[in-house]
Amino acid sequence: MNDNGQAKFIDNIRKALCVDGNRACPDIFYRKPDQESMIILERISSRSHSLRLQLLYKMIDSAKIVNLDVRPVQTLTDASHEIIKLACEKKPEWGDEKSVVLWKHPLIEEMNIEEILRERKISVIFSNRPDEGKTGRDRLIKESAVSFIGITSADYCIAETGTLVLKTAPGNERIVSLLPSIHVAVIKLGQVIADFNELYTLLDKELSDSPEGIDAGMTFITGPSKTADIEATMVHGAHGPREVYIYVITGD
Amino acid sequence: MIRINTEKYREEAIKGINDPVLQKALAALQVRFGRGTAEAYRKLPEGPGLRRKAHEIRMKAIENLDFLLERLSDKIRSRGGHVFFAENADAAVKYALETARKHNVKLAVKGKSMLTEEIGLNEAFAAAGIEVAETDLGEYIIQLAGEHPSHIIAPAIHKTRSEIGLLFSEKLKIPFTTDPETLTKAARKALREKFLSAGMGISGCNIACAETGHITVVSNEGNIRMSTTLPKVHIAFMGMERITARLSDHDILFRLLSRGAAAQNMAGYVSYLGGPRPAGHSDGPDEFHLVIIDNGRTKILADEEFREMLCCIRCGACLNICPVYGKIGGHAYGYAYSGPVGAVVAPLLTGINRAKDLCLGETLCGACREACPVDIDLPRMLLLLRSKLADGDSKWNVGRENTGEKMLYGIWSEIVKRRWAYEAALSFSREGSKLFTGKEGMISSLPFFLKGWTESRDMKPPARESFIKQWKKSKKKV
Repeated sequence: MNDNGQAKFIDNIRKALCVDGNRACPDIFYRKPDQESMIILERISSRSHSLRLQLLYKMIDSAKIVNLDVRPVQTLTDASHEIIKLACEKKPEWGDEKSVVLWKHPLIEEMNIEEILRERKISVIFSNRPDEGKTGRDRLIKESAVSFIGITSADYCIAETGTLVLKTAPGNERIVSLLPSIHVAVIKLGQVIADFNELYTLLDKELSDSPEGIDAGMTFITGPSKTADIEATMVHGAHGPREVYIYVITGD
Repeated sequence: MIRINTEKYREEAIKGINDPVLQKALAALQVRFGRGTAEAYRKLPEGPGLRRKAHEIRMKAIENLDFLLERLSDKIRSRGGHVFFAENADAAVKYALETARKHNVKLAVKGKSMLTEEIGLNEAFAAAGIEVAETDLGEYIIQLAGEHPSHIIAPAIHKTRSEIGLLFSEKLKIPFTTDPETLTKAARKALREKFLSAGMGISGCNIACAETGHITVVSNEGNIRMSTTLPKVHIAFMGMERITARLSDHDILFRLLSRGAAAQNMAGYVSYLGGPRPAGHSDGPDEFHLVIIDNGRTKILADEEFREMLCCIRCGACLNICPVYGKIGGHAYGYAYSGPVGAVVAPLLTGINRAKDLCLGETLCGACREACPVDIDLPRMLLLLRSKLADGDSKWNVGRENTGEKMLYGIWSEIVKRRWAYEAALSFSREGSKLFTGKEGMISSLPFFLKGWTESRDMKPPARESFIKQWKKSKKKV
């Protein structure tokens, strides 16, 4: 498969466009922040606590439309209490055993919920398998598939739509927000941004700071999995999580 | 292998019109999504004019397609992904089959992709003894039923819940039910097993990003995330035009795509994927393949009058508003793409003469243009296709559809230039029409080549006096 057909293919396109392959590449890619994005970046970084709270309330509203549950909590400890409660109340979807899969992420680790969960007969696994290669991957899939709750953080959350933005990284595996029946995300208030314009301005900036920024991929999640394929009736939990909770830590 | 039934447009359209279930479903779909989308555009902070901006972004990408595709493939290869450029459907299918055989794949799971319908991928895999499981619920339903999608986004709208209940009780061995939630749960369970055991995941691509080197896939169910995360091999198919230069272009494009496709502010899931699982990661496929497909698209690219068609992001908004699609349904179009987009794309990709009925069947009402998230002037191109059918066009290899008609219009244009000839023709038609006028004073059937005019409606006979004569008379009275 050495001949991937590229040269002839691109040549056909150039002929169709009547352009020369040696022409200068037009200025179509991102270079550095322009005036407008500098203003947006400044707006985000200098946003006051009360303005951030306003964004959070907006997010709670927009979340309702997509059946997403956004819950403000004062501290990380409050979040852990709520999550433990949730894990005790909810029934597993597949089988009787309760199992929770967690991101290996500073904020999630800081919650320190493994021990309490284990005491309540809920097994806990972390998603990163750095030294296990392929078998690590296969085991993670197997274990996540029977987990009823997946706990992640996120890079950003967009108030306008209730969208979580998750960059893929070691420890931040995408399976955790995909295979379990319930997805729980824990974020800090400062990660809530207004809209997609702010998101892409931030991503552009990160891209110019570290070019490998989203190399491993990125996922946007807006509410639980849904379908309307049977007589246009909305049903939640088509393939992905049936419920999504976002805990937003509002204290400092 | 590839399903093209555009010749059966009339036959299939009549079937659709006479199908009460389909009529009800189409009406509900158009009320919900058609109006919902218009409302969603109005609520955009930037207003509906944002669609024009999206059009400019798309056109700029199309005009620099060579650079964008090179950048995309360089980036993906640098991460260890494979990129294959396929000039036609056969080359794409062959590559996919080779890849599947190399990994000894028995079962592949597929996230919704109309492009794979276009190239006939499922049929080819089935012939090679590899099962391809459709995983979008709508696609899964019609695959179980042995049918083809009738809508780009809502492929199973032509099926009732009782039909689906019967189908599931037979194929999935569950007790009969008409409850959408129970039915969805049954499919969730059945497909989960397939996701976890499949050797290959197949997806399309919504809008790739050249500068970062990612494809993107959008869904609401999460099936595409499953297909692209769990199997060891992921192969993605992308129409060569489905790319944009900058990451931030996605701001406008995704917001409009979500509104156009399902009147949502944002689709449930958007994934950026750009290669196999990196070292040190515990997630994602071992191998990543991207197949970039031409299959007739450079021909559209080369024609400046049709080039804007490549801006299309296949959201299906034009189907949800089109009065013709709303009556005849998707199967009448006989191709992967239906509705107004199908009426332009099918003739361009499969032959203008062959798919002529599709563009002749549309009404030119202009609703599709208003609904299009990237402001494509579909009515203009429908008209252009019709003019090619009337006049012929060697560049597109179009023969004149009706030389007799062309000749008659030629004569007619000579007649109307001369007053005396026009008057003579009028009195001739006035006298002639008397022979065919029925009791109610209407003409319900004309002979020979004129019969097309009265096939589906009655015509009024010409007035006894022309307007000019009546006008002159009335002036005399005053």
